[in-house]
Amino acid sequence: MAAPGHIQRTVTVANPPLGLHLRPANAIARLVRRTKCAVTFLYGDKVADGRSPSDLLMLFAPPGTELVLVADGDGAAEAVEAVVAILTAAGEPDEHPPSS
Amino acid sequence: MEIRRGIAVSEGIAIGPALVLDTEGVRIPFRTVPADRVDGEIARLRAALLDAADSARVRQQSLADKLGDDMGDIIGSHVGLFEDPKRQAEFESLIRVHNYSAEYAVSRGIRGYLKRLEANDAAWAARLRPDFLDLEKQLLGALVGDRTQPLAQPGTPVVVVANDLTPTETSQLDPKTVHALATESGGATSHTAILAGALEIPAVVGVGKFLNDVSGGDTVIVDGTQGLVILDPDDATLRRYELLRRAQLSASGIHRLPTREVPAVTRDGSRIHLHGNIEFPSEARPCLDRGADGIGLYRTEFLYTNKSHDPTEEEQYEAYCAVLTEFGSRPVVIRTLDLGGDKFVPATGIAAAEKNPFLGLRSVRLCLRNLPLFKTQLRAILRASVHGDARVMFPMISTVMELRHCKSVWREVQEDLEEAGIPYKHDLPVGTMIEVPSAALMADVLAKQVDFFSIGTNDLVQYTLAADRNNETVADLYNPADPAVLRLIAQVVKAAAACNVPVTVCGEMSGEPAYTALLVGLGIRSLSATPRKIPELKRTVLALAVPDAEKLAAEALRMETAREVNALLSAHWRRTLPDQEV
Repeated sequence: MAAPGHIQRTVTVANPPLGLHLRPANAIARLVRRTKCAVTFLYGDKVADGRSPSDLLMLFAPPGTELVLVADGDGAAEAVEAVVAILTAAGEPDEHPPSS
Repeated sequence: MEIRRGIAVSEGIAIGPALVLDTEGVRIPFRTVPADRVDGEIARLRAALLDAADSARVRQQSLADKLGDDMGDIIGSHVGLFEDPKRQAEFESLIRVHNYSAEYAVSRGIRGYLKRLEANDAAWAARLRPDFLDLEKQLLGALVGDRTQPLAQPGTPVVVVANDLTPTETSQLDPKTVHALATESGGATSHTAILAGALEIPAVVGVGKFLNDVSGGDTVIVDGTQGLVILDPDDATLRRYELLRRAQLSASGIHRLPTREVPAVTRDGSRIHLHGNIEFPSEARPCLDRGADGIGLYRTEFLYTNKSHDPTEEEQYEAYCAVLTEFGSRPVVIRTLDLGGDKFVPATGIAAAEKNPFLGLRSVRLCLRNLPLFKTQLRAILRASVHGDARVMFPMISTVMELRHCKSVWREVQEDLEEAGIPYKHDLPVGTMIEVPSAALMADVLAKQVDFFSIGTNDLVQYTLAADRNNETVADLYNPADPAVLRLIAQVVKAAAACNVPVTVCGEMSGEPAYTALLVGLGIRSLSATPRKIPELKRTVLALAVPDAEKLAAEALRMETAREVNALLSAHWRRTLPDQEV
């Protein structure tokens, strides 16, 4: 049962090859701090506060990890969309250009 | 002379005195402090965090100004971590509970994260490790007040060699004084590698232990294109690399590079087509920005690597469409899957590991044995072809039969689409790579059966000289200027001309200004190279005249050794373009 402005969403981390590493963790924390809502990330028994880039890093979420996002407050829907976009980005090229 | 191989992360060549950097041993003065000093340590910690955040912010801005926000963010993420109240609280609790000094608390705290990361996912942790060590170094630097930055101002141009460089240290390198970088550790996707690439400083990482064999001031060659570090080079090698370096410098030179609008025409009016080699759709735009006439080689392997399933027809179609629409009316040559060998087992796999993968079931051979895989790709290409000027080529063709087989599969796929009423471009040009010596020798027969050739010099050199390009112990044999290779190229050009079949060169040789005149003189009118090289190639083309180039090529073909060819090319460079300091 969703309270007003309460969103819960499961998302699979993409952004190969590093997934939720320094840059996306920073980008997410920055955007969550700017909104008026609270965004929490759950993975197994770990809980991360979306405003803390190191909390997010401590989730240890490489590509393929399924995270649950819980957002409450004004603008929760937009915040979740923005976070999902960062987590599911197409990512950076992995291999250095091959032989021919 | 010793040749070591590492991971090539940023192209280009440099020759220079080594500057050996010892990046280990950040000093921690005291581990614990007396109880009455705890508050003082907390204050120092807070000040250091603010300080480090400020410095990182300045560095981020400066980097963003130089290279854009995306690169700036690599350092910008440090700011967020320094300002994170939770981490500050953790460091502070280490100080309060254990009476640690601020330095020791920082080091314990950060290395504690690393341990936790490693316990969780070692591979992922290994990727993040350099960034965390960078953070530790910055914080300790802010605490100890140690601001020495040996990298910020070396006097003369150097080649920096180190065990590793943190992203912060790499971001501070000035390409004018640091001509290349080589590290023992490090990976292809580390932030250090990315920054070196963006700064266009030739770099090779992951070389393994070699610092014990280099002293400061020793001559070192870094070949960021091949991924080689050459210690104490012998004369022949030194001269070979001097030529490549001089040509690169002259071509990119002190004069402004020609704009994208200026067509690549020789002094006497011959048009040379300059195309780009790409791997990802996102590289299409940089190609256009550099003035590419088209894409000469669109490698499709990325669609298949590091995935849990082979790409669907739709996924491929999307990727091809993205490039075709970006390029509009300019040609895009799509190469079918060229993997196998050491890099690839498709999801619909091969049974056992091969003993000699480069001579084994790879590339087009793999495709012909796995028709569903092959047809899916061909279908996607044909369907996407209505969105631009698409062309297709088959890699590693080694016999006429193979080509015929490919063409018959191609026809079948077209018939399927026809029957299903799905539109595709009829008469889409079909070409073949010439990279196996047998194909070069049979070029006259192949020319009658294709619409174009593309000479893949990387593999052609390797197969012709029987020298594994990934084996540094034979690196000096692997030489595109070898007379054997030149003869094959000449033969291919002649056979193609007899059937009016255009020939492009698309290996690394085509991106080296040192060889441009030679290739043009041999009859090549189309080069496909890394987009970054296109402006330099254009400048080289603008400065040359075909009759001169033909004379050069004719002389080169009379030479007996690669060394003689090299000397010839060096002399040519000294005559035609202003001499640059190497």
